[in-house]
Amino acid sequence: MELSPMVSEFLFYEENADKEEKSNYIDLKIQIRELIKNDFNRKILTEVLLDLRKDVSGDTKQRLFKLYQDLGLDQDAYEKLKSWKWEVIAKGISHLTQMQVEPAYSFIIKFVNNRRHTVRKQAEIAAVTLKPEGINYFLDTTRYKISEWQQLKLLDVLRNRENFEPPRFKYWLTSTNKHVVLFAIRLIKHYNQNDANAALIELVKHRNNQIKTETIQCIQEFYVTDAIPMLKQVFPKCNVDLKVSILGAIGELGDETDIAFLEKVAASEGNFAVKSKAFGAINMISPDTIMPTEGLDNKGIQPVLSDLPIEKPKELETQETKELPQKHVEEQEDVLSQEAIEAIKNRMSAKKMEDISSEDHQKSSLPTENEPSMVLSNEINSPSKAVSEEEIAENNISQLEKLTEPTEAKNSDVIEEQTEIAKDKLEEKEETAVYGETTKEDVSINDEHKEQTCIESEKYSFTTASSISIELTEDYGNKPSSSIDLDFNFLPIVIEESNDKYHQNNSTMNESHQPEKDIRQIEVAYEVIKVEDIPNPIADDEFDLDISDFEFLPIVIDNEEESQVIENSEVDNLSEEIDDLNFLPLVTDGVFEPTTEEQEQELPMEEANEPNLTTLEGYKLSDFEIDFEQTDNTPIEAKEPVFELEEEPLASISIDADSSNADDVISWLMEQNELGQIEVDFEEINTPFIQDESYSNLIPEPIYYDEHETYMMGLLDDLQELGDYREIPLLEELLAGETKTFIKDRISQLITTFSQHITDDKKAKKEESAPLNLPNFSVFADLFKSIDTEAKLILLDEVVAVGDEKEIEFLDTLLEDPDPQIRKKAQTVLKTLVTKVSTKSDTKNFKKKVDDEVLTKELFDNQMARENPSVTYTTEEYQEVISEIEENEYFDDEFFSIDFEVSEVLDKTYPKKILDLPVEAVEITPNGASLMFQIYQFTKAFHR
Amino acid sequence: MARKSLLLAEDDELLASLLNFRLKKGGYDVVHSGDGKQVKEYLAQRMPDIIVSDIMMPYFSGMELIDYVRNELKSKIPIIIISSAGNEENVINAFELGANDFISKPVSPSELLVRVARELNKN
Repeated sequence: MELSPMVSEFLFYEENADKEEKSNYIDLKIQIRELIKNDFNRKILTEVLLDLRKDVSGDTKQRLFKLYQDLGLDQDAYEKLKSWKWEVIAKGISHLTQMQVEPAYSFIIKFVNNRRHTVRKQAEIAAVTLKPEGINYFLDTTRYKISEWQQLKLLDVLRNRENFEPPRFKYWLTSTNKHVVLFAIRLIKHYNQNDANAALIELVKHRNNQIKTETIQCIQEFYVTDAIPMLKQVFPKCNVDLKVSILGAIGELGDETDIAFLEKVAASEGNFAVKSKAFGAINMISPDTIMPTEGLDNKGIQPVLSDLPIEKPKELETQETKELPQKHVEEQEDVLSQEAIEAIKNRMSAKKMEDISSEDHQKSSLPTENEPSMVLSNEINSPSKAVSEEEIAENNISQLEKLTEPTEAKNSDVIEEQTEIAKDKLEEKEETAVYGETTKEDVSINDEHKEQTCIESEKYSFTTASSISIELTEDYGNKPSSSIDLDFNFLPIVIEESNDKYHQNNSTMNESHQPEKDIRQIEVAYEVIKVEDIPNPIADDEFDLDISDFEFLPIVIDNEEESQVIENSEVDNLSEEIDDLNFLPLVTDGVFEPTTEEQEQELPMEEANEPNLTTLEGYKLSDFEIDFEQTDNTPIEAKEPVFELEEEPLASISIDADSSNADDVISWLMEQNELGQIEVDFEEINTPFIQDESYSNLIPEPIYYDEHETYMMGLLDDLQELGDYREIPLLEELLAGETKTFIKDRISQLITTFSQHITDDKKAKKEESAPLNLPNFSVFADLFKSIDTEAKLILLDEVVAVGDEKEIEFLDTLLEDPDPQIRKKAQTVLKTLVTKVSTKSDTKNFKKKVDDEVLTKELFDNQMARENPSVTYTTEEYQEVISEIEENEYFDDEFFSIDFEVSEVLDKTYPKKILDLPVEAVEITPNGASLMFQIYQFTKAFHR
Repeated sequence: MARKSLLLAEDDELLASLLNFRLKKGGYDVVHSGDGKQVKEYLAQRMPDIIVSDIMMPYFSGMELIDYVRNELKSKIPIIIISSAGNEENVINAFELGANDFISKPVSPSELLVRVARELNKN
């Protein structure tokens, strides 16, 4: 918030402002430049500007963009473009795009094909946003998918772009990137660029359905009537959605010449949506051509059809009239509605084409298509059905005949053929119904019915009557509508039992003759089979079958045969099971023992199947087949089992007694594990006598010592274990008195050993006494490596408090520190530390001096008390002596050049006689007590 | 000539600051508040010459503010509503409640200045 007034000031600054305002502006500019030197402030300001961008518009927004660049904040975004992190790059692109930094265009467009989709999408938006030609570049170069959302965003950018003149997007219809093509079509549609009709017509053939759909929509919107032939051409190969789109387009763009196509589609298409759309399209071109049929009460209309003249096939007619009661036909005729007949007749005569199409549609909805089959099936399969069903059946047949009548004039041959086929079918049904079997036709009908909706029109295959439909589908869009009468595909009047049930139920429920079952849609592939051709399965004696054809059937045999078969099969099964148990060690008793030849024959087969292995790796014990040789009936214990182990085990290893290569299992295992291949250096020792004697002879005989020798050896053992160099004299003494050679050797050995110990000990002592020349190490040096300046300054204070002379060296190094603060502080600390250390040293020395004086006084007193107990002296006299000694120290250095050890002198207690000896060289204490005494005596005598 | 007082009710501090600056520069005494309750309290004590309010505000929305001014305070002072683009229903409701004008976000401060001046001139 601190920055917002500044931003406002900048945004609303005007060039013609007064002097005060200008001055204020300049001040602000200086302030803000200082502020943005800090990275954090720069980020904040950038965020503020980006946030404000969303809330402001117009001139203020433009000023905001300018301010962003004036303050150099765009440089941060440019820097982000160089980052290795994709998210940083994307953010940089986003900032530059949002703040409309046009010069960044050339830097950003290189990211248009970035593999990271986030970066790529940002770059796409940026390219289109920053420059008008950005969309051209993007469409030219992009290799990636353009998502729907991205297309919308790009479109939004283009829409909001001021003074944008869109390029001719038809140039990108040829792009190899299908997404570019799709986007181009949408842009063409959005910008109403209707100069791309030819290209759009070609794109109808595009493999991509989305492009097809978009193109069809575009064609529809631009009213490209030239595209209709192409639409018709591609129609058969399209999926349902596309077919619906195409039909919609044809409905909108087409004229009456296209109705034929639409009718064909309506007639042949199985899909409800396509069919409905086709009818809808027909009505769009020619309104009210197709009338509603669903849910209408057709009671009064249906009988009209029965009055229409029709030439029934005689056979069929007679059959029907015989089977169906006449009274029901009359009943049906009674319900005729003359008005309905008139209406239909008028309509049919008025417009031929419309009549045909509407008739088709009516036919599709009337019961005439499936009811005949129902009749037949009812008649055949259940002749004793209720009368009502027969009535319905009769009615259906009559309707069937009536429906065929209008087209009979054109297709009388076809009708005749169909009726003949129907008759044949009827006969066949009668035949097949006797045996209760289902013929091929039934099955085919059923199958066709199931698959009917899935099969595309061009794939339909028909025989006989339905073969006419092939022409229909093949001639889509080219043939006139005259072949619409081919809707009699329903004529194959075959039905299976299950269908019968369905239709029975349906007919029972639907007593009003509702023609809802559109059996006409079922494309039937069937074959006419005469009854005589069907082989009679009952004629057993005519059986001449190849049994191999019935392998799939289970073999059924009677009980006796069964037991026989089982016996034989048991042996086979047993052998198979044994084969399956190959992994087990096979122990045989000779019955099934294969001969050696058999084994040899079997082995190569196994070898062929099994890998050739030379080691035991990866094998279990169960993998090895062990053959035991059966030899007479001798007990096993009596036999020496000798195994033969083959080098190449494969799946089985036979152990043979005759083997001489391997002596035992261990050696064999070693061999198999290649342990035997390890070369071992050895020396062969020929000791023939050992081979024949027992091992006890190899033990050396004990050496027995006499008493002296035992004592000496024991002593020497003790000395060796416990003694050191101090025992050398003793050992030398023993050596001199010893006669036994081996004892002498032992003593000499000990002396040598101890002599070496002396040297080693001396060396060790020297090493111990030698001072360790370790470098001075300051603990502060380490700490200084990982702390900031402030902490260093604090630590330097601590150096003064707890440091000693070791820190001096460290402080010396700090005097060259680059930080002036540290240098200065180190200098101060060093001075303080040096003073402290020196003071400490002085104090120490002073204390030592005091101690020395006290000690001297004590020694002096002791000496005086011992040597001259009667003599007394004053403090002054004592001081006088001491000062004299100190003076003499400078004159006679020799006195103090004597090596001595303080501890030894002080600790020693000398017998009195030693002290009484005339002193030539007196052993003195470091403070010179003895000397002092002599001087004292001398000075005393001198004074006297 | 006395400066006209303007109450700016906008919860977006940044935008409010910008508009505040611009309106002040345009010659208005601007009182800004981002809290609907504060606005209500202020209005109970003193009525400005014109109100510029955002519709979406915490505690007390722009709609409630219009309703309060028109129905409780029985004031006919001009009220200009700021709303996000595409919030058509709110705008219609605001007009029905008695708002005088409407400006959509993103706001052009210059445009707002003109609209404010126009509303004041009407009265």
